[in-house]
Amino acid sequence: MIKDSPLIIGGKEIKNRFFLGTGKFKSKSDMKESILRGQVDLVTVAMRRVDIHRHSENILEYIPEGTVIMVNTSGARNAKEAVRIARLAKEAAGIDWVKIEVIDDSKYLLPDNYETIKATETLVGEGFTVLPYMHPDLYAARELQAVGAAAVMPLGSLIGSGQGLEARRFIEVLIREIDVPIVVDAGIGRPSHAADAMEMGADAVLANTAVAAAGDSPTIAKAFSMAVEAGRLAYLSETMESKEIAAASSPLTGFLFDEKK
Amino acid sequence: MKIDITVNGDKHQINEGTDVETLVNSLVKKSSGIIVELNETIVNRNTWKTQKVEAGDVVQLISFVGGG
Repeated sequence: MIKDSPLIIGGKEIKNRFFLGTGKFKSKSDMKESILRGQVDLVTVAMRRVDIHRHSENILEYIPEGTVIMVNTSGARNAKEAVRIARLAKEAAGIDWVKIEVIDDSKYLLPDNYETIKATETLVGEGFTVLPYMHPDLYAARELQAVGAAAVMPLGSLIGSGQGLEARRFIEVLIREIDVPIVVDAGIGRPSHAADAMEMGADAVLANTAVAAAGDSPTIAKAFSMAVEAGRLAYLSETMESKEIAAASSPLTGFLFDEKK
Repeated sequence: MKIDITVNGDKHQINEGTDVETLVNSLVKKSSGIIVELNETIVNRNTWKTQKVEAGDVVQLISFVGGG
C-alpha cells in the first residue's frame, strides 16, 4: 500500500481533491448549493467585462467563506493578457491563486503551452500561487515545474466535451515524472472519469461542465467528491494487476461434482 | 460640454467633469462587485467620487463571473 499524504498546494492544505469550476450553472444559488453539497474547498472564477444592459450579481457573494478562490485567465490569448487578468484579480479582490489558461483557438480551446510557461514564470515571480492548465507534454510540464508552478493541470480531453481521459497515457507520464501535484482538468464528464484519474495517481481533479450541465448539479457535485475520494483510496491500496486469462476466485479443489477415480 | 470616452469597447458621450461613480451609476443598476479600470489602471472604489473621467479615456467595467 502507498502511504497517504495531504494535498499541499502553495503551502496550503486542500482537503477535498475535487475542485469545481463555477461557470455555466443554472443559477448562482445552484452553484452555491453545489459547492456546499460537494463540500468543495477550491473553486475557479473568471473575469469579464460587465454587460451593462443586464443586471449582474456579484458572484463572489455566492461562494461560501473559507473556499479557496482561484481566478482563471480565460479570455487571454497570450502570456501578456493572462498576466494582466491575474494582476487585476489580485488588485481588485486580493485573489492570488491563478489558473493560467491561455487559449487562442475557439474551436478546440486547446491551451498554448509556450505562452502558459511565460505567464507562469512572470506570475510566480510576483508571488502568485500558479496552477497552469496545459496540454500534457512532458517537456512543458518540466519547464512549468522549474519556473515554480505550484501544480500542473493537464487536460483530460477537450474543455466541456465530457469525453473523459482521452489523454490518459500522457497524463500517466506526468504522474510518474513530475514532482508537483498533478490536477487533471478539462473534459471530465462523469464521476467515474474522476475516480479513474485518481486511481491512476493524479492528485486532484477539476470539473465544471460535468457538474453545471447535469440535471441535478448539487447531487452530482457530491458524487464527484465521493468518486475522487474513492479513486484516491483505490490508488493508495494499490489495485490488482489485470490479467489476460481468468484466475478463479473460489478454491480449485473439493468440487461437489468431481468423480474420484 | 460633451466629451467622448470608450466604455467596454463602445463609444460613449458624457458630460465633461463626470466622476467615475456617476458614470458607473448611469450605466448599471447595482455597482457591487464591479471593478473599474481607467486607462488600464484600477480605480479604487473609495476614489470613484473624486476621480474624473477625461476626454479619450478608456474605461472598463469588469466583474468576477462563473468560470471553469
